[in-house]
Amino acid sequence: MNELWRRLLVLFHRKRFDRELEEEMQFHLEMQAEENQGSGLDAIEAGYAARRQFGNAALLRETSREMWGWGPIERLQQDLGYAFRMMRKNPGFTAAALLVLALAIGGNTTIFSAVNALLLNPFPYPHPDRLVSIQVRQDGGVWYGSVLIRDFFDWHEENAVFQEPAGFGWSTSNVTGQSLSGFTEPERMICGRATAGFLRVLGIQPALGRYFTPAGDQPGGPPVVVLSYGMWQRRFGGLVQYAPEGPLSFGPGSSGNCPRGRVVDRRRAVDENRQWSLSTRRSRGGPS
Amino acid sequence: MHRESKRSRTEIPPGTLYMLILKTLARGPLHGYAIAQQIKRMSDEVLRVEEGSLYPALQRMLIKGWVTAEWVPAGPKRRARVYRLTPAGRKQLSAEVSDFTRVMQAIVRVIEPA
Repeated sequence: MNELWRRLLVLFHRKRFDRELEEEMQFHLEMQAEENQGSGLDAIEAGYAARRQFGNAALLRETSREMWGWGPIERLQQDLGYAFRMMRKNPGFTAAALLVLALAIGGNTTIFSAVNALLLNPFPYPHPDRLVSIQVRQDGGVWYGSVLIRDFFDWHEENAVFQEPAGFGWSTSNVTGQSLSGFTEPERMICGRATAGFLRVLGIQPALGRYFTPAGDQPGGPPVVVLSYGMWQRRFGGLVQYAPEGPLSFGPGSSGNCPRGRVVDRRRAVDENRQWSLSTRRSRGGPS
Repeated sequence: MHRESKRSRTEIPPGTLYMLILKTLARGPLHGYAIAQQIKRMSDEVLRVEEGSLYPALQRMLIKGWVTAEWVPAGPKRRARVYRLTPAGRKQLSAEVSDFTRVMQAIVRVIEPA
């Protein structure tokens, strides 16, 4: 470990390293020259003799530096520097090459992302090959993804093919009442309205608490809210038990105490809007 | 002149240079030139360390942490780099000496007149 540290230091302080090595060589040469003088040579001859004995100073410096093991990296640095200099000298060519590369890489990335999302990635739900989406249309008309609620339940009663129906629709709701920090700002947020079996069909388990019951599907049944993970953390501070002190209302226009919030684990629910066509929203067309 | 000195110069056996340098430094910290001089002197001029191998070897020892180096003033306008043995270097020295002695004794046993 220390060894690597020392080697890194040298990598980043190359000039100082070179200077010090140079100084050391110089000192050695001088000492050698002095000794030669002591053996009876005159000053200039002593210097020459010393240099001869020293050998190839440049080679020595190179070898010494090689010892630190950064040779390949330093060569790579030099090559990269050279490459950049050449590119700067030929701006037209460099620009053309960069453009081609950018187009190729960008195009590839885009196409792959699209293909990946649509074709390659399986649904993040269990048994994705068994999920179907049902659409309706009038004779010769356009396929609609939405149906009336009553029709939805009628189909389910007469259904012999599908294991379990699930309906879902987007809507917005106003959340008022207290939150943990005590502020009472109403929030308007996007929520989904779903039938009882919806999350079960998708294989999503609530992280805490109970989920929808079939009773909730009946008109006038108890209203139940499943909170997303993010909202649970944000507005309710991640508490498991929460008894609102004042009226806490979810939903357009309705008020009244909600039962304890149930919590759903964090899943991306965006796919539902695309893949799932049965919804509980009112639609324009009628079934064929 | 250069040729003359080459004839009387014996090659240092490979793998022993480090041991020689470490042992020299075990007797006291020295700068590079002095290390070469001392090896030459103590071996009665038989072993001469080339500068081309001395300094790379010293660098290697610095990397491995067997020696440390510091700059020491050595005259009115210059300074010398003095190397000093570290405890790790001492350990390395004794390991190399024992290896070397073992090999040497084995060789002697082989070449001894039967």
